[in-house]
Amino acid sequence: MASSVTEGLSASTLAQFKVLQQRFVAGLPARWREIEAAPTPQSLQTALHRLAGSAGSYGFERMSQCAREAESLAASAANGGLAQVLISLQDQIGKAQSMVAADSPAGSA
Amino acid sequence: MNELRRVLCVEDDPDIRMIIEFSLATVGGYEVCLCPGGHSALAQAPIFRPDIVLLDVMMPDLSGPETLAALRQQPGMKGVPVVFMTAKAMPDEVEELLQYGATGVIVKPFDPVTLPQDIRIYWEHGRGIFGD
Repeated sequence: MASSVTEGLSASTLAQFKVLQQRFVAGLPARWREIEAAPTPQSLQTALHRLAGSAGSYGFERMSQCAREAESLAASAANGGLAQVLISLQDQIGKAQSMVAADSPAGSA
Repeated sequence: MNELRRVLCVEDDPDIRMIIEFSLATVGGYEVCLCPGGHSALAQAPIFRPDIVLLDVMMPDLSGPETLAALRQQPGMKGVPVVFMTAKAMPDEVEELLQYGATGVIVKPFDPVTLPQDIRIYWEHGRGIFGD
C-alpha cells in the first residue's frame, strides 16, 4: 500500500497529509457499514463509487481499485464475484487501519 | 491576463473536499472556496469570482452538467474554465462531459500533489477556449 501521492511533499506538508489520512481512515468503518447495509443495488453502487473516487487520493490505490471493481460488478445483471471482491475490499480497509495505527504516535510508542 | 488564484470546488463528498483543500490550498497555494453542491456553488460564484471551477459530476442536488449550465448564465462566468471531476473515466463518458462545455476532465482518485499543476494547465488551456 505505497503512498505514491506523498512523493515530493515537505516534512511539514507530509505531516498535514498524514492527519487527513487518519481522518479518512477513521471514517472507513462508517463507509463499510454503508456498503454492507446498502438497501438497493443503486445505493450499493453509489457507496462503492464514492469510495473508489476518494481512497486513492489518500494513498490507498488498491482500495480504490477494489471499490471500482465491486462497483462494476454490482452494476452488472449477473454480479458473480462481487462477494469475493467485497472481501478483498474489507481486507484493504483493514490494512489501511493497521497502517495508520502504526504511523500514529500511540501506535509507534 | 489575470493570474490563477481563486479555485471554486464543488464536491458533495466531505473526504474529497478535505483532500482538495489540502491539495489546492496547502500544496498549490491557491485560494479555495469549497462548496458541497451545485446550489451553494451558484450562490458563492458571484461573491468568490473564481478563476477556474472544479466540478464534481454526480451530486445529489444539482448534477455537474446542470451546475455548469447554470453557472454559464451568471454575469462574468461565461469565460471561466470549468473542469469536471469524475470517477468514471471511459472515453465516451469523458467525451460526453466535454460536450457540455467543460475545459477538461480530471479522473478521481486524483493525485493531490499534481492536481495544482493539472488545474493550471487546464486554466491556461481554458483561457484559449473561453477567454473573453
